[in-house]
Amino acid sequence: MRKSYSKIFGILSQTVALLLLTTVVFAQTVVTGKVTDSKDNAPLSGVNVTAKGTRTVVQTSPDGSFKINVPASATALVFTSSGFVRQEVVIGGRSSINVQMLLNNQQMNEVVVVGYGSQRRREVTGAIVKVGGDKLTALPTPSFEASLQGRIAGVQVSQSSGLSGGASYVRIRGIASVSAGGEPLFVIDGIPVTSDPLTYSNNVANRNNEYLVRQGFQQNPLATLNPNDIESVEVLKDAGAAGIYGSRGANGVILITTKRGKSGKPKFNFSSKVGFSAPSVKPEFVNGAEWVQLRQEAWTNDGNTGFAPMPNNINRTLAAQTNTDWFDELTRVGVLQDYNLSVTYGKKIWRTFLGGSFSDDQSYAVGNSFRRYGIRSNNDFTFSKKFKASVNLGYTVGINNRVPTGWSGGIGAAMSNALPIFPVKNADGSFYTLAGNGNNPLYQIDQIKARSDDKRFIGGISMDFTPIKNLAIRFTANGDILNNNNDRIESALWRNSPTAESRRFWLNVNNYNANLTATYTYEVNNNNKFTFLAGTEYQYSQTKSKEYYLNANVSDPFWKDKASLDSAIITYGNQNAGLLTGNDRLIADRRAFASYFGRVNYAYKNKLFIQALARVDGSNVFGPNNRFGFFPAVSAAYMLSEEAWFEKALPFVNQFKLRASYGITGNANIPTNRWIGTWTVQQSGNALYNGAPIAFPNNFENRDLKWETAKNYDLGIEFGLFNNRLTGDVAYYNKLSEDVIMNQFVSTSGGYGNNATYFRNLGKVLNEGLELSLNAVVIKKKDLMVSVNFNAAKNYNEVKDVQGLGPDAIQSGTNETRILEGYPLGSLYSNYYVGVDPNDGLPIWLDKNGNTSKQFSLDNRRPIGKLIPDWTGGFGANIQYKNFELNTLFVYAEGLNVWDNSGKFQFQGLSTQNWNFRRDFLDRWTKPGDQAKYPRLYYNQLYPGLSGQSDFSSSMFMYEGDYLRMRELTLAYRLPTKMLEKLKLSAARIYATGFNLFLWTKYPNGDPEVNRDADGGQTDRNMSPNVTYLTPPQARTFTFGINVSF
Amino acid sequence: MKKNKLYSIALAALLAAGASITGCKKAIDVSIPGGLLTKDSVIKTEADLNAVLNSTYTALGSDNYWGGRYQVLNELMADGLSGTDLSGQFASLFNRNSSIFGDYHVGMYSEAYVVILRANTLLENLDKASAANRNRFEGEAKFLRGLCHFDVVRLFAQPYVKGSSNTQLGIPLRLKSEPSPVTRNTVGEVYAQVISDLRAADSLLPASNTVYPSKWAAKAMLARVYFQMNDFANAYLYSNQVIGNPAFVFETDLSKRFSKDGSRESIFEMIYETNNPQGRFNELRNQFSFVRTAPTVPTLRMTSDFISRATGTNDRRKAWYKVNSGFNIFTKYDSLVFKLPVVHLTEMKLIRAESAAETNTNLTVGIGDINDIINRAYSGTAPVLTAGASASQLKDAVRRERELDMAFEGDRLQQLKRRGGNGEAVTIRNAPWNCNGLALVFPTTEVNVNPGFQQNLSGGCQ
Repeated sequence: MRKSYSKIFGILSQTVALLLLTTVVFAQTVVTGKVTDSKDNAPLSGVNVTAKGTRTVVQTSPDGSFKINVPASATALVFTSSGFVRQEVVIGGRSSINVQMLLNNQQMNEVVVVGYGSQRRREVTGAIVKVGGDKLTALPTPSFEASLQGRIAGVQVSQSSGLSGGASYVRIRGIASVSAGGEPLFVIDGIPVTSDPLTYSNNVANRNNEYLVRQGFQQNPLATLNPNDIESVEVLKDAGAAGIYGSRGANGVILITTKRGKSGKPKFNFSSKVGFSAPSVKPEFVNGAEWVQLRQEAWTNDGNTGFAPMPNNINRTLAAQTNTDWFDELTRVGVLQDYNLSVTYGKKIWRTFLGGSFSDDQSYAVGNSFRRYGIRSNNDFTFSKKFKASVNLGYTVGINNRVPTGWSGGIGAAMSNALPIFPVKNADGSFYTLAGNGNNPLYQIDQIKARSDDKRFIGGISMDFTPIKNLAIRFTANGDILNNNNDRIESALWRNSPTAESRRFWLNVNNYNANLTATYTYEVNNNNKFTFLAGTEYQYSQTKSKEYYLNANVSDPFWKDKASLDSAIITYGNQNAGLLTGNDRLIADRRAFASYFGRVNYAYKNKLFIQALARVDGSNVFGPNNRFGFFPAVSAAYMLSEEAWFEKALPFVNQFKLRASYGITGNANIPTNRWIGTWTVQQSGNALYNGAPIAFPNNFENRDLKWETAKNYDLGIEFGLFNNRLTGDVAYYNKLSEDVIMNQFVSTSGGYGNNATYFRNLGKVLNEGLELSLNAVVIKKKDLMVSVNFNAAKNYNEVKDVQGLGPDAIQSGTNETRILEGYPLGSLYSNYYVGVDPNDGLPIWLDKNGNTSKQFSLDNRRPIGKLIPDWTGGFGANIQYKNFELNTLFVYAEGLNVWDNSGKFQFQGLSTQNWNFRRDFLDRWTKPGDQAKYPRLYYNQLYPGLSGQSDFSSSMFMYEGDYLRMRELTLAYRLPTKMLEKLKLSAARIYATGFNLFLWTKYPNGDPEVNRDADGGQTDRNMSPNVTYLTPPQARTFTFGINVSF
Repeated sequence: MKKNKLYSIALAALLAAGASITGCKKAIDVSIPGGLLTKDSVIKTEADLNAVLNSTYTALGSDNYWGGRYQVLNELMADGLSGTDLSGQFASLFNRNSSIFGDYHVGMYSEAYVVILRANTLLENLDKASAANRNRFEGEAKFLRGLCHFDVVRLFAQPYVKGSSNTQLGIPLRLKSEPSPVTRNTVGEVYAQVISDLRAADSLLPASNTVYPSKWAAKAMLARVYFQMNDFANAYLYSNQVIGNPAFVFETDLSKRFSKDGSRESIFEMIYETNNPQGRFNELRNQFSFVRTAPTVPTLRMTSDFISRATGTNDRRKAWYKVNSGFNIFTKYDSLVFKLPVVHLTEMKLIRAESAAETNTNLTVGIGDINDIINRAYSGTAPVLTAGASASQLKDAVRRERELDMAFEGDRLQQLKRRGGNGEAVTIRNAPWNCNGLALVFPTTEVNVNPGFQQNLSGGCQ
């Protein structure tokens, strides 16, 4: 110690002596100053400051300051730094010169948010794509994440339907999960938020084990977020990027950063839009007269004579004369409106962003709307150089008037059991219910009211402390508190009972996290820099739920009738008084994550970057034998274009970066408590033996249950050519997911009942693919700028291993999707339909051995198709002419099948099934010799070998699902400067947008972008994209809007 | 100065990291939510073991098993019921063509293994039992495991064949609570395990055990199992021991066997709950009895051929039948509350008598047994066997009376199969005693999750 001090002292004294000496010898002046980044005024270190024409060079220190002794011969200083434009400043006798450096290459110096920090684009070693907030507000989607569709290569987004408040489905680089969550981790300003749909099937079955409350569509907790509050979204795709999220990074991570205050005078931003929507396509069914006639055909085909019976024995003549278009009756012109006002303001100590919003989206479905009120306040405080803090507060209220869909009714009924032969109303104006209550969806909507009301707070504080140079300590604490009331009332009339039934499903999610990180920058010398990050994080999330229930002579739902609610709450309290520590369902979920992580970044000369990171995650969602997981990743990036030889050899290449990463990430999105073997104890009641209590196990315990492990490789090139007129990104990835969690059936002789399942780390799934993104500025003139963009991703998915288990050994969804080794995940496993026998009109199938057979058997099921697309992506153009701007976005998916699980019932609609009959099914066999696409109709004589109508699944109802959709067409006009000055505005833009204007597809039943996600919990969330069961189509919307800044 | 500060910060950070590592385990050790119960929280004391034990009896007596499906499955495949009006699963079971889509037999199969799982769980937690009760817990668990494996093997596999090595496929033996993949054990292995469990129960159980199975129940079951194997010496031995116990009394009142007060003949019977007397055995009532299904005639009806044999003029047992809407229906279970004998003295006497005939020893004892039964049935109006009756006369009389006395108790099919396994040329409704369909098909789940598990072939019995 002493030795080193003396050494330093020695060097110092020598230097001082030398300095003194040189001052004496030459006439020199000392110039000091500071170099900052023109973009954000951040100090720039490592900038070379040269006295022009001499060899005197110094470098700026980390605070951007420099001090140079300028020889008399020099008249100017030259500032150079990689990535910045060279600047020459005449000294002119000044002793202090401050310089702002201009980026010479915007793209590579863009600030990118990474996990627990930010980096410049050039430093990023992982696969990260940034999307600006403007892209999220451009389209009238039900929720912000749906706006990502088609914008990022390798990020597949599909909306579940066109309803307000609906969920969408996001997959990054394919899918590997079956019964664990397959969605990316959503992190808003540092807190992993509740993002999975509020699926009641996993946690809370209602008292009758029905899921009516969901009305056949998911509730999307992300829909409450105001897209206007979002500054940017960063999508972390590979282990190099998402690895820092350890056990939760395997499905990718979506980082959402909200807007922050800016220095300066108050700056206001106002935006508003109104829009009108309609279903993008209308499924076509036969009319009333045709239906009656076809029913007769089915009746006669069975060998019957006389008139065919009508559903519920309604009058046949009246039925034939009725022709109700239920789809039209249940849809309308939707109206949406959206208003936002925000202000940014900043002084030396305090900067703030304050925003308020209101939006109301009444979708095309009669009775369906989503209304959102939101407020956000983000504040930054700079108390001193060493201490900064910020406070984020966001609160939104989302009110979703929910209508039944799918099997639940509404538009689903219009496509199924609401037949054209049923009138809406009787002659006296009352609703027609002769065919049964459930067959009049308008009556249903009139008699059943359902509303979901979300209140959500997302906010937090952070503190930044810089105790010494180069060390930054940061503490953040966040909360995401979601309160949901799902109310539903069924009238007495509907229930055919003296009392109405009112219910409230109350759900409360309290999700907190806190983390502490320390970042230390160590510059070895000008060329070598290390940045160390160490951190620890704790997250705790608890979900509570209750169901209030009232059977009484009431007419208003709980949200209107507070007195009834109070009495239901008292009843609940009485009923559950003794059970609060027993088998009650009050707490549905409780999970905690404790983590520590570290990251080392090494930079060599601004051109070579190496990163190594690791995270340890522990959680109670894992079984006791595997409580902690370790997730390391290494990655590197090499800016080849920084090499002189490269520049010389390929002068038209402005930037060229190679990147590579390998790492292990995990997926911990496991439904809670699945490792636990639960028990039931009956102390009283009927189920005793010999009057004594009984106790027994319910399900098999798996103490080994743990995260899914993904081994990720990523190899990428980022480039800019021709003065960066053409930029792009090409990537290859290979992600092998192991220990994939599946819900395996337990051997019946295991003693847990016949269809018991347990969660098990069972399989291996490969996702391998290529991604390409291109941006080209085709024309760049003063008044005209034309740019085009294109992205495409090819994904190859294959189940590599299921430990020899057959198709029916793993629970894999409500539909015909199965997990089959050697096939893509969720392949369709059903019968293969060959065609119709022209002689008798019976369907011909393929049997086990590939021979044709007219005998249907479930033993002959085989893999018949796949739901996962080969190619997905989008392309578009942006044209700016003077003050006009035209924007388009097309999205597409290729190489997939759509499975229509409702089609089989629609085809059997003329039988006792009594469903609507799709118009394209008219190509059916009617008489010997017919060459038809579909078999003969029947009334109740099922086709040979069939044991029930629901078994009639086959390739007959599988379709090519390829589509191309014009997702966006926007025409905008920016007010010219002169007019702005007159109006005292800083910017103003008016625009008109067409959303989902055109769709090209071969799919015969409407819209192929479907998602039957509301039925079987998480497994169906993963398996059901491109599966439909009476799914309402996407909306086509026209919006008109204005954005003003002042 | 700066350096010192750096060191102190580094030290603080290290300490913090250390604390967080040790704290980590605790931090994520959050309590299991919603009051969810686990094995560790449930099985702590002997009282808890008792609760597990009681749960085996609720499963055993549930509608899926001894509460009805067990008897219905056996009788559907035997020869007393009429198939004319049966449909759906009952029709395919009647045709000895069980379907992999049927859930009726699957429910019985899975319920039997529910009992076995609970019994195995009990066996794995005997350390919580007191020394005084440990043997009783172990004995009851083994009794139940033996009973269940035996019930399942008789329905889901081909019969035990006397004098062969019995390598035909049986059922999976489950001797641990862990449900790892299995394949089928042979019939010989299953019977060996059943005997070993019942013998253990015999030595572990007390002579008297309130409503629960006693040592005598184990012996009675051993008699039933050995008889099924056509091991007449052992069947005689055990049935003789049971009959010798004066605790079991031959009831002269035929209505006692399924009655509210229970029967003194019962060696082991399932009880009803006093707080819910109609809560058990309803499947039996639902399928057979008028009392539950009125005004609809119950689904299971007797053939006229059987009725003509079962309702002889002086046979008091004809009270078990009546005609309603032209259908022959059964009234033995026509009571909303009764106790259900699993094994009773009449069966022991029938086993002892037939074993005596088969071995041609102790004929006098056997003749005495069958005469008790004949005298009870005919109130002394029918001729009894004379003291010098031959072994074959005795055997014929026992077989005739067994069919009638134990009618629709789930016994008949197994008697016919047993005789087939003893080399007799038995047909059951014109089908050979060992045709494929007489072994029920296993649940698809069982086959699906156990690669290598061999399914039974259905059909072949018509």
